[in-house]
Parts: sequence; structure tokens; C-alpha cells
Amino acid sequence: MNDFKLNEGQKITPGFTTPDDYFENFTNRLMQQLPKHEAKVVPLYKRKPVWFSAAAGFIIMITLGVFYTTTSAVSQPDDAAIENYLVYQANVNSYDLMQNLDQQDIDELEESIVINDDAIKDYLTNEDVYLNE
Amino acid sequence: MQDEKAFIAQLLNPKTQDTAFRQLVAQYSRPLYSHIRTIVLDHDDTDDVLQNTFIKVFRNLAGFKGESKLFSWIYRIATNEALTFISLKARKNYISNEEVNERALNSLPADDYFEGDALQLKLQQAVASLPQKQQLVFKMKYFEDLKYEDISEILGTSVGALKASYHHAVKKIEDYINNH
Repeated sequence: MNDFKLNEGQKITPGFTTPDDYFENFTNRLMQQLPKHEAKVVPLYKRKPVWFSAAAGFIIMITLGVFYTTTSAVSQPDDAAIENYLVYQANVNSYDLMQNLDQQDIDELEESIVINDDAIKDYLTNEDVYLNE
Repeated sequence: MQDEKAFIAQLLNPKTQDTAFRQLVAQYSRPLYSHIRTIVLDHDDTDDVLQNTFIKVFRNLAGFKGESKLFSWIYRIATNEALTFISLKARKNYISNEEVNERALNSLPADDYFEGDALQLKLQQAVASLPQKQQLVFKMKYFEDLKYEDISEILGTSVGALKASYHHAVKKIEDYINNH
């Protein structure tokens, strides 16, 4: 083969082949691998009204803070309100109250309740039962 | 050129993109396969590179400025992908690019998708003995029958230099075949 000339005679092909239907299947295979259209992601820091969102968030926090502070102050009733509620609104009678008093409560009541002599006299005058005993 | 502009517009329009890209793949898959196969030699490797090429084309379509022809742009991507593939394979196996080529060449006779005779195999061996740039020029001119002007645009080399390169390649190949 000492006189071999590449450009003389029939062209030599590379000799490569492909599996059957390779190119027919290739297109479908490839199309499935292509990246799908994705919603464009805009980074948060690139958004113009980021300062606006931050301000809105701040205002909401302040408003909620004020709301909770004021409502918690109002929702804390004083002693008189509780007393009035128990007497006039709640379905609680004297017996129920007594049932819930322990010895310490009674001692405290005895110390705090000041009954003057006139009151005792009035009570005794109106309560005949006890006088008869 | 006007047609190409219209076709690129279709490729970029989300509504027509799918159909247009299918058309592009149908048009280019065979010649690109041949181009890549002459570089990487193995069928499965060619399949990988061909897919990567089209995916890269798809991803970079928006950035295609039309400064060169779509044809040369796609071929340039395919060439780069094929050469990068060989470099990566070489790095992964701690061998040189030439050794990767040599291994591919040695396994060619056992390849199910190579039906070349003794002369065809010898021609492949002769081509592999050339420097990389000469190999590319020879393959594109001789096997793929591309015009010098197109090869010039793909490889970024002047037509004159390509002609000289091809001439040298042919001489070396003839010498190789005559002496082996």
C-alpha cells in the first residue's frame, strides 16, 4: 500500500453506525430533558418596594403591640367589679360562697369586718328567735 | 438570513419554542452526531455530548446575538462540548487527552456501532496520530464535507490556515497508511 492517495478513488467513510431509530427517539428523549419554563425569580433585595414592605411590617407590629397592651389593661377588672359581678350577675349564692371559704379566709374576714355596737343591737332586736333562746 | 432571524424569533417565543426547537433538533441531530462521533468515537459518549450540546443551545438561545450563523454557532458549541468531554474524561482517569483518544480507538473494533473495515480503522488510527487542531480540520473537511468558510467560522481560524492544515493532515495520513 505504498501508493495510497486519500483523494483518489472512493471516499472512505468513518464507518460509524447508530442503533435503529436512534434519531427518531433522540428528539423525544431530548425534549423531555429540556428545562421547563420557570417563573422568573426576582430576588427580594432587587424588589423596589422592599423598604415599603419593611415599613408596613413595622407598623403592623407596633399596632398589634399597642392593641395587646391596651386590651390587657382593660381586661384586668378591679375588686369592686368582681364583687358586683358576683353579687348581681353570677349565679352564686351565699351558700356557694361559704363553701369556698377556708379557715384562713374566715379569720381574715373577722379581722377586716368592723361591726359597730349599734349594728349588733339592731340585728339582735330584729332577730326574735335568738332572743327567745 | 431573514429566514434565520424569523426562525430564531420562533425559538425564543414561548408559544412557538417547542415546535421550533423540535425542528432544529431534527435538522441538526444527524450532522452534529457525525461531527461529535468523529471526535469522541464511542456511540454512548457521542449520545451524551449530543444531548448536552442541544441543552446548551436551548439555554443560550436568548444570548445568541446573530453575529455568526446559527449553524456555525451550534457547531462551535458541539465542538467545545466534545473537546471538554474528552478533557473531563482524561482528568477523571488521570490520563492525557491523547490517551483517552487512544483508548477509544482501541475499543472501536469491538464497538457494536462501528462497522468499518481494516482500511477505515487504519484511517481512524492515522487521524488520531495528528495534532488536535489538524484532526479537527481533517474530520470536518474530509468526513463531514464542510466548506472552508464554515470551518473557519466554527474554529475561528482563517481559510488560508485551514487549507494549509488540511493539506498537511492529508500528507501525514497518507504516509501513516503507507507505512503501517
